[in-house]
Amino acid sequence: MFKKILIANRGEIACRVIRAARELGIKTVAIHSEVDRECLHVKMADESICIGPNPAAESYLNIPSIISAAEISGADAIHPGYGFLAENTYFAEVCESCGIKFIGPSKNSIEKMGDKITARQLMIKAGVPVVPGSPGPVTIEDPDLFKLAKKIGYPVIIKATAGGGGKGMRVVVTEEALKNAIQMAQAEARSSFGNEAVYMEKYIEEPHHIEFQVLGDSKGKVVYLPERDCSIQRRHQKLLEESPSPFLDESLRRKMGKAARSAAEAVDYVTVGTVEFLVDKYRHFYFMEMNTRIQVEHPVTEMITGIDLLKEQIKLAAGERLSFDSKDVRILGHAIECRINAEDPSRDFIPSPGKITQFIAPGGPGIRVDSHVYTGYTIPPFYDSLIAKVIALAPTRAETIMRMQRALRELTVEGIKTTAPLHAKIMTNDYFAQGDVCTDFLPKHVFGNE
Amino acid sequence: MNPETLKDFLGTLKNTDIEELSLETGGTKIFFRKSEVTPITAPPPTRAAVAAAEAKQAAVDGKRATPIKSPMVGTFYHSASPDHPPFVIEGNHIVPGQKIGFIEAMKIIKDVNANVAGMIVKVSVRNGQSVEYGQELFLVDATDYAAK
Repeated sequence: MFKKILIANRGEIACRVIRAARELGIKTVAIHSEVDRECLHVKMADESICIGPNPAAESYLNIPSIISAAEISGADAIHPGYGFLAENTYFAEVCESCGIKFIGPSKNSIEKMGDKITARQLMIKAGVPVVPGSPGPVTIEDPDLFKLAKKIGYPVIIKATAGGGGKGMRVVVTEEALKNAIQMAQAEARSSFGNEAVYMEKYIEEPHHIEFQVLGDSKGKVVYLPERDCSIQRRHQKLLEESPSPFLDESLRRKMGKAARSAAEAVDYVTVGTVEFLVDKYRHFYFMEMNTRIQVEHPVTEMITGIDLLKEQIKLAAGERLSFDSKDVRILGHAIECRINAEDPSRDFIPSPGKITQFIAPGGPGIRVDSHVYTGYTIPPFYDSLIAKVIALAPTRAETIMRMQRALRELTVEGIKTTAPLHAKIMTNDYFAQGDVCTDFLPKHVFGNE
Repeated sequence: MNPETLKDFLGTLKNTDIEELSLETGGTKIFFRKSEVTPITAPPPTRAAVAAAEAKQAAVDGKRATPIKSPMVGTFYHSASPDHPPFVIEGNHIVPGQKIGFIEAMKIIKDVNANVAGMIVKVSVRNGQSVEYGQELFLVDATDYAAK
């Protein structure tokens, strides 16, 4: 087992890693930029090292600085959290060559799943259903371009192979718009990711975004856990997640879980990851992508299964074997997570950094709060806007919604604006109560009413 | 020998360059030796030295001190090797661009060069100490140079 873990991240996920490491008796090293000196993860860790100035490129993305910090602190493992360097194959390689364990999958797994076209091809080979699409990249010069699009069936979507975060995508409804959409998507992909390769897929209408947590050990065993429904999104960013999904039944859950397991096995996946699917209104499911890291919404799964995913991740990275099977996992209730961001929903979600003059976290039965903020803490403008995750667990979905409503009333954040009022609105929304939730939920059922 | 006579005798002896004398007379033995140890007194400090010491304290107290901070995470070294003297010590005057130390990380060496001119009033880290980004390495009295 590791003696000392350096957390190459900040904020709430760094706090989460420190908590897991501490329970395993492992020492922790926090790294931080200059402005983050007062961040909670720095206070919580056993040691801390300032690794650079405020911009992420010079601090949390600064590989030499982070590796130096691991060297001088004597850390034998690095946990990358999510975002930043979590899916950076070069970083994983550097850690390995310096004799420091990267707590995550191998760089091969990251690489294979990081390229969307390669991932698709691997999934087809593994028998995992994928969205009907082009076998490789498409360009406007392809002689069979229109034939292919017709075979897939409009509407289609053009997506960047190196893409993410909703960039480099264009939906095409009619043949006339196809060539222009490809060129636009290529331009955006070139500027956002430095790679202009795009491919074509069927555009799934009214999709449900449903993902499965998987765990893999170094002996090749993979286990899947109950799904998370992350359909409520704004600009392809998740706002709220719940488990289990109100859209799935037991048989579909089993089918999709097994597909998720096959996907992870196809890349020899070790530690924890998530396989994302789109499910259409006919209950057909399609592989979308795999996230080769711990995710923001992991608490939802922890709450309904009782499994500590961070401790499992660390143990698996240290070479331990998986101690349970998918069939051993029980669903203990229903959980919902609301991501509280420092943004003003009434002004088009403009970021709201600044000093939190009062912070009161909700409590009581079935409430968990993962956060790095406290009264008097100043949110810097350089990083992402997530300041807290509020998770509610109760025996039924209806009770969980009531519990979350109660918790959101207790949550007090003064001095800045947050998305808490939007979540309160969603909790009282009739469509949400019925489980009628697709990725167009917000524009259709919430924003449209204003 | 009566005390008055003895007193005169010793007074006379003192003003000679006789180091040692042994006298025996009429049942009285006198042994006399001049002491070689003289107490060392420091010369009173000069005005200039007092002014310099006060200026240094003021600089260290932050009134005029400019910190030179670490540009990266790593291990700081004062000198090229254990056999070499330090690049700079307290009291040295430095000029911009002058090498005042180096930091090692991941087997890569990065020189620490002065970015100000002035006098080193404090060396804030030990040789071989681990340093973080932005950590104070030296304190420099930058106005010292400017005044000249």
